[in-house]
Amino acid sequence: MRVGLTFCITFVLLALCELLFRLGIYEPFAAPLSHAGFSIQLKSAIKSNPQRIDFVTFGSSRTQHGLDHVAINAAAAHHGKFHANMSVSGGHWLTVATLVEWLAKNEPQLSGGIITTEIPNFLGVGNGSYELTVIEPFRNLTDFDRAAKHVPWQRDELGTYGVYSALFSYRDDIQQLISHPLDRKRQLQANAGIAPLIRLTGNTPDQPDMCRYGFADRRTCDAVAADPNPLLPAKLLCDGNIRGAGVPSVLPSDHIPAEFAAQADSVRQILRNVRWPKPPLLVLMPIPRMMQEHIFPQNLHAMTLMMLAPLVAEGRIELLDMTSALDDSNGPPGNDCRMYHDFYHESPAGRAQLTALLLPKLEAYLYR
Amino acid sequence: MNFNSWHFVAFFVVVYTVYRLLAFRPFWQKVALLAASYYFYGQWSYTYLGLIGFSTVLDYSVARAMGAPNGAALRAWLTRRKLLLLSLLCNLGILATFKYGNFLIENFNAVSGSLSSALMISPLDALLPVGISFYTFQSLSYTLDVYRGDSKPRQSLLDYALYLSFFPQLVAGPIVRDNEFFSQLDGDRQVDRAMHQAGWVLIAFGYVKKVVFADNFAPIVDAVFKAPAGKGFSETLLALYAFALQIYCDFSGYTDIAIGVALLFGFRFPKNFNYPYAALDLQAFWRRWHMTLSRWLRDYLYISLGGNRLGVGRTYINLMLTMLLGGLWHGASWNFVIWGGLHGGYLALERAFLSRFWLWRSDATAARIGRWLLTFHFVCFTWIFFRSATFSDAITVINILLRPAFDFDYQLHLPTLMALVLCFSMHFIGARIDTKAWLARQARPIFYSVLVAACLLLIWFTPSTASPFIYFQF
Repeated sequence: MRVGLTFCITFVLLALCELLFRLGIYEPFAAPLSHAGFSIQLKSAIKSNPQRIDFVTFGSSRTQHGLDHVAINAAAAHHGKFHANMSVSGGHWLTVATLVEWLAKNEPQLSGGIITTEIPNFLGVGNGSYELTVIEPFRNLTDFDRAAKHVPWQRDELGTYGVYSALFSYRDDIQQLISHPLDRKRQLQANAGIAPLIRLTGNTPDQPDMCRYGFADRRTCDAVAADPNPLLPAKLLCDGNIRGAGVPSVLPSDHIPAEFAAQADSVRQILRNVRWPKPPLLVLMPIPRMMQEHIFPQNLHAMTLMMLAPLVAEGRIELLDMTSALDDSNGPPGNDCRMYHDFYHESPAGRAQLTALLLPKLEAYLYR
Repeated sequence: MNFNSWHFVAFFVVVYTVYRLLAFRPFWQKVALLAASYYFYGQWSYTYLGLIGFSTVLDYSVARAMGAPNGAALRAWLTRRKLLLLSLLCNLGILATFKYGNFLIENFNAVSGSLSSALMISPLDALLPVGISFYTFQSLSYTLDVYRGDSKPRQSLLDYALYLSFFPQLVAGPIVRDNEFFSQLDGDRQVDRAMHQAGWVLIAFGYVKKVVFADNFAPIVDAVFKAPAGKGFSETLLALYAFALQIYCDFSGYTDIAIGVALLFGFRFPKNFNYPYAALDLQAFWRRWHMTLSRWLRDYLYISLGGNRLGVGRTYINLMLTMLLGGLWHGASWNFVIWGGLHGGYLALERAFLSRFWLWRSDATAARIGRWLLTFHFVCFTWIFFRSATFSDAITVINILLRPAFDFDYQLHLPTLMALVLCFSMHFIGARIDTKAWLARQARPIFYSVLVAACLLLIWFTPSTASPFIYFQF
């Protein structure tokens, strides 16, 4: 009896701590540049931004690097609108679903926006347990099922406990806070000076292009392997870790394979739940041809389009396929090293070119 | 089954519930505890459970025969001394085979090879049974006590089987004496509020020590001791201090959990650690470190060898022998023998010479600090042999530490240093006010705060991969 009571009381007190974390008690202390911290800063910027938000951009680090958010907001401002960049590093389908729900509650006046993604995102519904930390500040109190669908809970994988508990989601951040408290204080002080407008419409710092490795074919990976200090995304891609275990090297070109049927349903459901006045503009971000041919399964692009086709037909999304938008028209197709900072993220030149291609569509579809 | 697993949590809940449901049926409570204990051990190996069964039946029968009248069956052809020898030979024989068999074969082959002999023995293909050193010593203490007349033979095989296999202390102690256990087994084992709170506080502290501290120190220690060559002075020194805390937190964490769990079942086990790094001399260290093993070695080895009754010279020899065997008890490696030998040598030195000097006789603060510094660093020095995989690795570590250099990297080493300072501070505070006992006496709000704080620390600081307890290998 006494032991049972001790278990119960301790559990209730822990649940209270969990509730406090869910309500944001830890948010002022999170590292500004961690996954969770970045989302917290974003949330705070939206809440404290004096301007009404009309349009948003969802996406991942590729969106942060690959689009000129200053130019996009300037184009929106020309029409008296405000376009906020809500792309977060590590953002995937779970992030889209969570942000859509959060915005519906907190920014109901929203008119529409861009959802950027890329063809490899159609291979899997989840992006690893760290996406849980990305969405934590935006979650509601009862979205366990959705989180568990994207990041299945595993007993021996503590990161996945974040599906059910904010106390677990902030583990890495708290460990870092305890081990480097003064660094955290400095980071928070430095971060306090950044205005919400900069956060919502600013660009990431410029990064050098990919030409130091060359960008032709699989031989690029030999150059990456020889580099004592390689770029991490480049190394991961060359090691083949991006494709994921169990994914076939060739996909059928005329139908969605049975093992991807659930994935297709899940993506469609997430996009159908986006109920903005203007259906979202879904942008498939550029993927270097070298990666399409050597890293990802063949016909992935075709399968992606098949997954999205019903949504286009229903008028749920406006699709803008820019998968090959940065292909080199002069050199070997799809392999312009000047356009990319690494295999995955655009360089400033790539960002400028991509934004130049996107802006007319935004003008025509969103802002008018 | 590890204490630091969900399996154990579920196991505990089920066993405790059944145990409480059987509160008015003591016999079935014992049966339930025995079945649970065998299940607990069987999660490692049901095959090796047979060894426990064999030791149980053997020592139960031997003790019963020792206590039987002279004309009784077994006693008719075996004297008490022969019965004791039978028990010693069987128990130590099993221990030697599984624990020291390959060590002896390796050394035999090395000697044989150096003599250019073609005679080589193949190593045994057998894993070390978990906890064999602990339950063997516990079983031996029983037959020795019965032989000496200090204990009466237990009539119930069930009671004796439970004594040897009671799951909280089965695999890594504390080594409980038969009279300590049976007196409680025969009592009503009521758990009052004080026992209940003390049990939970111990469990909470045990888990925090093991998971939050020991498991997080492990990578720092492993990074140096797995390949010490080429490591820097600061990194190596911090790794050595970290290992001192890792092994303490790991082992004392285990015993805290074991004692805490036993308390919830109504059994009070003897203390096994009493803030050993606060000791001012090595003798005091051994009164505070793995206290139940020290007690066993003192009562059954040191005193049996003559203790300090046979003159000064023989006392030192006995001390040395006891510590050498104590070192060897930890594992089949010359490094453990060196570790034990160093402790034995220093203990003898302390008795013979050091106690004459001012530093050892004075009660002045400076002298106490000096004594502590010497003792602590001697203990740390001996940990080098304990932790190193080979003798040459130990020498490499010592060579690095003999060439001090200021290569302290603030970004890299400061968090480790802070964690070490925090741990040692808690250790000294604990030594002064016995934190666990103090917290166990507090009102419910503080008690529950301790439990919640422990849970939060476990949530935030449990490493991604769980490590087994270090002493399981012994």
